[in-house]
Amino acid sequence: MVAFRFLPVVVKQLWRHRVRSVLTLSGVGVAMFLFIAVQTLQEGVKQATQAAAGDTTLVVYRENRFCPATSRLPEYYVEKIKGVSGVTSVVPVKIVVNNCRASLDVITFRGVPSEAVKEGGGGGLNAKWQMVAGSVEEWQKRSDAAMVGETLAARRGFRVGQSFDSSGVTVTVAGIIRSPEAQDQNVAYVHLGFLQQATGKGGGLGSVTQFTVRVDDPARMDAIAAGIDAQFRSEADPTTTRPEKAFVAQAGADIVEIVAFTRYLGWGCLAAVLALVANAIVMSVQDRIKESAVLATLGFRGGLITRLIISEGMLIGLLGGAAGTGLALAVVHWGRFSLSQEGLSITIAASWSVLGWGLAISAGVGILAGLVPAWQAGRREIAACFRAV
Amino acid sequence: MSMNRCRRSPLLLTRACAVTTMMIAGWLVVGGDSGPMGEWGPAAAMASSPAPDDMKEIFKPNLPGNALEIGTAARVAKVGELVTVRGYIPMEADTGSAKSMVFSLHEPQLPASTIAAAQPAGSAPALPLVKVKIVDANGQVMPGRVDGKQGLVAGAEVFVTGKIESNGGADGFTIAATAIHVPRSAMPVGVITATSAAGAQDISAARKAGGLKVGQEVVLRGRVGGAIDPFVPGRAVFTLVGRGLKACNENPDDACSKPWDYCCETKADIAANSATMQVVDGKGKVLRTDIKGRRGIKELSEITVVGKVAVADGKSLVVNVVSMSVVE
Amino acid sequence: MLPGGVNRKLIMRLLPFDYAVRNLGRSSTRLILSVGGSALVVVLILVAGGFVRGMSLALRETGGVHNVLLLGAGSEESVERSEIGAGVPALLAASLEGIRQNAGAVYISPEVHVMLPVKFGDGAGDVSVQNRQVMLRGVTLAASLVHEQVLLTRGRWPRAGSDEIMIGRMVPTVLGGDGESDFGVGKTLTIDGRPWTIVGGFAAPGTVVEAEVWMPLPDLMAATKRETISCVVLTMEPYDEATGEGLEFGDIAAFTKTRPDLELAAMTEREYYNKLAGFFQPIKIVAWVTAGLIALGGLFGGLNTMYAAFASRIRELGTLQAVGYRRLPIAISMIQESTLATAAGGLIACAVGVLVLDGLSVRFSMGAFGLAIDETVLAIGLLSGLALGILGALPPAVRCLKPTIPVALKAV
Repeated sequence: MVAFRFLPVVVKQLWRHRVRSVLTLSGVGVAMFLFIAVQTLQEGVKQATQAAAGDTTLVVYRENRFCPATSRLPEYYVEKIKGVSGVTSVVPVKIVVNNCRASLDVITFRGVPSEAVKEGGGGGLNAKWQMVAGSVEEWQKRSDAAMVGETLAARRGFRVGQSFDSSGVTVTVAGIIRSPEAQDQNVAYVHLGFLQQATGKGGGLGSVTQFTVRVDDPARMDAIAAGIDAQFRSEADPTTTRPEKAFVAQAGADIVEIVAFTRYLGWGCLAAVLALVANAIVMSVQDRIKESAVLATLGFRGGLITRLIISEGMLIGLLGGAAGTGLALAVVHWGRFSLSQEGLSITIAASWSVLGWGLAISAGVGILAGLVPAWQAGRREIAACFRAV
Repeated sequence: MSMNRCRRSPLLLTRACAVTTMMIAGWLVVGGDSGPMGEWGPAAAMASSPAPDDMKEIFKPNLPGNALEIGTAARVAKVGELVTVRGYIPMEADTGSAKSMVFSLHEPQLPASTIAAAQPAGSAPALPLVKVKIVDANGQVMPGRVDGKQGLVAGAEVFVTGKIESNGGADGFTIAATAIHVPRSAMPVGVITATSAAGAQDISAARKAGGLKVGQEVVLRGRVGGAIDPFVPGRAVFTLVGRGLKACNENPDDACSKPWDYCCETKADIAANSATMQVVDGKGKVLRTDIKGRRGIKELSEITVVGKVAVADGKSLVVNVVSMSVVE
Repeated sequence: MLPGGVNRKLIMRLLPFDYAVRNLGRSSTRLILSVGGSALVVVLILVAGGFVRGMSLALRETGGVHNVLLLGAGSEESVERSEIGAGVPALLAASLEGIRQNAGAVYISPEVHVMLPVKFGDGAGDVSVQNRQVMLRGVTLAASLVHEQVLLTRGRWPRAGSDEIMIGRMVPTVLGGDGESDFGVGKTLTIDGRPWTIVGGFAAPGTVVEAEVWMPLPDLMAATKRETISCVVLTMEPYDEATGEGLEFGDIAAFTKTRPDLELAAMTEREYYNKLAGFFQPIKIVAWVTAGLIALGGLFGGLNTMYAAFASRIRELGTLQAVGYRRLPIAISMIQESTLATAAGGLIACAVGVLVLDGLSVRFSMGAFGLAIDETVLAIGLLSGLALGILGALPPAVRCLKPTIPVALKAV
């Protein structure tokens, strides 16, 4: 762009018109805040719904059902599913959610067999969990114990030893977990038998909502899924088996659609940044017409003057973008937001890549905004500039 | 000339507006009943009835807890102390109280003539009499008259909260009321007693033994609970749970905020160890008054109930209360 | 002293309103940007406000004033999770006095509420668009008595055992199809893998019931293989203190206490939908916060524009002061100028809101409602426009009027 020795000149141009610079930076910051918030939403949806190469999890659900309250599968299906070639583990799961609709504050219980959660992790459901507080041992001791995901615990202020109730079920927090799986962060894991009995009429003992299946070969997921569904096609409760992320994409279709719509909001914010920075640069250039002529007289080439102005735009974009991006990521990180629907969660998470992209985009937009006025300023004749009022 | 007019016009207009505003304001405020403010005008405020908002502030919809019986209050309450007392307006019309914001309360729900007959001639009255003054925020008796307003009719059960102005002990006392609650249905005298009946059977044992029939007289004991809200607001109904189940706070390391809901037990166990108690009128309808707060009754209070079985079908047990008391 | 004995010092001479209007016309680009920018900001505020208000109103208005909902204990947040015995309605009719009746028909409606994926059309097209969750309600004829807001607008009531349904007015919005061609009487919807024929349509203006599909209760129970119902909705006859006739909510609550085996919870229908409104509170907050941030961004842009506009007139402002106008009247004139532009933008936005946005169907989370651009939202929009104008002019005006007259007159 420009040599480092010219940076003080660029900074001084911004400092000279402090009020204008602060107003522009603030506007850019607000717009970038919104843009980054939208990006984190998109990122969360992508993580929750787009299959990765190493995914090995299938979800077996009642056919034509999405709301956990409506999916009731007999627990004895476990044995038949285990018999399907390629299946390495099957965990029956009962899901109770306080409301199937989409919202930001949903409590989801997942009832799993006690033996599925092993002390030390090792092959169990909790293989990838990290205990933030409490222990698996405490969870095994009590029938009404719950292992609460970190996001849910932070959102509701749960601590180990505290009781809370939702959906007519009262549990005691035995531990708080952190998991790389997005779904685990926003649920409370309880004992399957306890949840079946506590919800009583919702099927009761012997009935679960879904089976979580792990397979040995990710490449054969579709074939294994078809094999599982074939087992139960003629049963009273037929199944639909899908990769977990595809299941989330379909069950959470409402959320996915809303988030897709917010993309337009993001573009609008970028357009606003462009307009704000361009406006500031245009006003700045107009104020300095004579000054630019003086620089040209002293020997500054047109190209350098152009680049100085573009650098100004880039700096405004970068500074405003940094403020907005940083604030957005801080809010997302500390707010621990997640959108939930049908007992599934899409976590809105901050990441370093979003920060990097935010800074790059804001700098890029700043450069773009300054291009035209900078090019015009660089091409003006010295005499015409001196004659300008 | 035109320039002067231009300078003057805004000033004249402003003056005119100010005068008009003052005239309208005067008409509004001073006009009284004939003005647009009607009964809300200051003239109307001087009338015999207190402003509706003041009365509504005094009368509370919820039954206050820890109300003392009149006899107890007469013994223990000190002048200047804030207390809540429960009593009944005499059954016969008391013309004195009807014409002002002062009325009387007695402990039993009896006709005034009976109360008078109970007083031994020439000696201190056996039944304390409470004089209740309805006062405003400054402690002055409100203008107006009771006149049956807000349920203050002969025979009504009334809960009064206020400061004791004077206490003559057994003669009774005067209370400056700052809050009053009048239940929609008066609790009959003798339903809630101070002493517990003997021979009470625990509800868990009674349910387990079975064999209860509709109409059978029973004496049962249990603790208020079995649900997040074991009482029904505005109705004399509540549930008791037997000792066959442990309340959550009896489990070590249990930090339940509402241990009376017995959430540590299954719903089936709670149903099998509980009974519903109701106080009904002559037609069998549940009284429209709260139980919670009477004589300190609250969640997990141990209660002895004497009553008749209304429903006993094996799935649920409902008892019509004849009398009940809190086990100390 | 002026004629009339008025002290000249007490008069504050304001600049003519024309001055502010003419200043706006100095730069047509700036005028278009100001009016357009504020119009855009106010439209976004109207959209957010209309969304929040529409959702709130729809949920608040749903439910009869005298209706009570009895559902399974523990399912008070979501009737779809509730299960109660199919014999409960008969028990209620026998046990409670004061339930509304008309010509022998008792106002008790047993219902099943369930959310299922529904498809429309002949199965062609993108599955993810067609297959959407819709609230289905299994009802009997008693529902037409209990739910007075529901009006049959076309066709007839569906018959049991014939795979017939009737749809609410907003169902096409929920499913994303075209009104008559996809959802007319005689068309089919695929529910649970089976085709169901639309035999009627209903409206329930301003409520969320309009986004539901209704079918005979036995049919839905058979389709979902359930022997229990979700809830009972009954209408109380208002209690008369004088005669003692009628029913109050407390009586129903007392009844549920006397039958703990039924595991019933009672709440008014309005209370249930109000709780549901509370469930969406975080979404509403997000909508307002987004609109607020956009308004803030617009404000900063406006401040910049106004600052540039006023800064170029510092000499002129100095001249006005030299002539005799005080700073306050000049500032007022500058605020008038800015507010005029933003208010114009606000009015344009309100016109767009009333003519285009009001009543626009919005699909959200298994339901649909119309944007409500009512008086409250319009007032917020107009006030926002005015606030943008005042706040956008105040700091630049203060700054530009700060220099003394000699300094201002020497400005470039």
